[in-house]
Amino acid sequence: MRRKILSTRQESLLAELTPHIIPADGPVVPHFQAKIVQRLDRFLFELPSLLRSLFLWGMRMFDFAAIFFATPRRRFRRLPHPSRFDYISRMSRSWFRPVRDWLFGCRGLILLFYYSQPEVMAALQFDPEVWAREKVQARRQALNLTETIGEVKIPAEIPQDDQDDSEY
Amino acid sequence: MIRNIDRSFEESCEVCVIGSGAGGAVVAKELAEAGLRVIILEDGGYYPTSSFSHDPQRMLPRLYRHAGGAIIVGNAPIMYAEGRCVGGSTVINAGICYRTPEEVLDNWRHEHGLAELSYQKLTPYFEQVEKNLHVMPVPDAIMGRDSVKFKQGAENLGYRYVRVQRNIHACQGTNLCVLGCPTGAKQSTLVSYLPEAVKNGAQIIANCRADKIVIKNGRATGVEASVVDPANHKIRHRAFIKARAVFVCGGAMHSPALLFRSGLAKRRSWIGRNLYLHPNLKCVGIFDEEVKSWQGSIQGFQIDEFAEEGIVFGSTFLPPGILALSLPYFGNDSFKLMEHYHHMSVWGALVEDSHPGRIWRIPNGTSLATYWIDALDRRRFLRAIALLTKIFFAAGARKVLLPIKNFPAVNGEDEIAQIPQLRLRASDLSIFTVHLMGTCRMGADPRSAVIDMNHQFHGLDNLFIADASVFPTPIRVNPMITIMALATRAAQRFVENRRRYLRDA
Repeated sequence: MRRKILSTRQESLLAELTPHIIPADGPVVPHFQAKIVQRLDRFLFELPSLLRSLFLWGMRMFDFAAIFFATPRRRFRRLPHPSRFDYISRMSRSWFRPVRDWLFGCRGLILLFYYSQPEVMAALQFDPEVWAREKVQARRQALNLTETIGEVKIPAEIPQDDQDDSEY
Repeated sequence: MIRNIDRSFEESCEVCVIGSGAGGAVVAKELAEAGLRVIILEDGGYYPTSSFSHDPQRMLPRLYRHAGGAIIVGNAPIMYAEGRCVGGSTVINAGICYRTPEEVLDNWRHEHGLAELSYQKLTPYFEQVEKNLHVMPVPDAIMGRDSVKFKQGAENLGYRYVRVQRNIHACQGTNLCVLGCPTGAKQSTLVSYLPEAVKNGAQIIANCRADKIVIKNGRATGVEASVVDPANHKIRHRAFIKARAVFVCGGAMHSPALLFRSGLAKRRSWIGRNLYLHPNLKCVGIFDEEVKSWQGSIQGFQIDEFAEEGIVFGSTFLPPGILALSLPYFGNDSFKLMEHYHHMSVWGALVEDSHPGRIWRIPNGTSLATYWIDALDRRRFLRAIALLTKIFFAAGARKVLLPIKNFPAVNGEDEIAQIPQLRLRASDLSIFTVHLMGTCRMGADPRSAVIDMNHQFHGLDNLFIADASVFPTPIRVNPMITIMALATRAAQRFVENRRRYLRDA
């Protein structure tokens, strides 16, 4: 098991921030807030430690800076909903680059995960699964190919389904 | 067959190759074919073609270093992407194949003393690599609508363009190259060189990070490595690969890092310097008609009209998640724009660097890349964006989204003139790169280079480097074929002189 990167407080901040970043008029993704917490934690785990620390520091700054830049003067997690959206808009144009950059990065990650959900991709008329499956079959039929790489050593702990899960 | 590693181990071989990308796979195949016992250490995991998916959430952590979230530090943070899997960056690149431009090789010969690297002398290596990779011009049958529009734009403006050559075999135009080709049509080293290497006896050890090259009596005697659990990045087992020669092929970021950890920076002060990036800028055009840029080859044409200025243009494809990430919108504004995804086309500019950055050693054994963008670069970036916008409108776009903060979109050709006049900071531009080069540069003079013309580390008999880090300068084109041709040459030179290189210390 890998260690969790986000604390409970950070998870809750992320869950509170997410509805203001994803489009309210867009397709609804069931349990997206829970999914985003899990996905972002996994993503942060992969980042270089310096970048990961900066991200977590930025998260604290974003929450705390609401005391100075939001109305009413409270931490982000305690702001009423309309004030949260105003605060996010203001921070996205802020002169204070660390918070602005953090918000841009965090926003980007949330949207990356949102627009990668099948429901959302379908709404964009993007259906790569069917498309890719057709193409894989077409090539297999054309060439009757199988891929073999021979012997590759990997650690015993890697679950086999993580290695051999056929997508198409 | 997959053989599991369940304990620390020591193995011996004649040549240990570190990295399985464009450099390492080629070296391993050539050496294994010559009958040498080869072990390849690969930091990333082994993911066969059948496991590739269209889902970035799933593929980014598997195939990309730091899940694609790596950053170069400077006056503007520059995102860079590189592969971290068996096959390296060849698994996740677009498979664009260009030979090194003749003028670049001329410069290497005259300025860096690389007399043997003339275009003529490298031609047999280019040909060999192109044959092994099935390099061919993108056929009309898989030309996407975005590429056709790109060509239309170039033709309408009278710009010179070329049909792109790619390493494809029966490509169906699935356009998921950057997440691993699910059809296996892209001839990455995963499906081309590595199976050949393995067939000839080479062993690949995946999830195995090279920690240090052991140097004794002026010779490399082996590699200390760690077998890492990909699920939690914890070191599971230690490994020692005893080798009579070592090839470092970890790429421009990680080859110097390994040399730093091995204490070799004392011998060659140029390790880590001379970092070139080919900075990339992307613009998004929105057309009235459907483009569906996910259908067809990832890139069909390149505009090289401005190559002398160091600017090359091409089309590309980004899945919706990655595209939304790069646009400066959120909430309903984001969706209003992304609703037009099937009308969008992403085109990019590759800009030649005017000066190098650097890789620094940091105390925890890793490295940090720094790169500063100066006024000349900014002017060149703005010119590239203005030209690209012009091409979009010439192709029929009604709106173009720009990678510039505070100037995110252009709605008509009359607004293009404002772009070169913009006064902005480097951090106002969204820049990224996929071509890191030059941090262990090749040169005849040991005082200003890390390796010699035979890829041999200056001052060590049996340590070699064969990857993009050996380029003395940026090369203006996609680097895969250059890396592979040089690696082929390095391996064949090694085989010719094997007695000298493989003698015991």
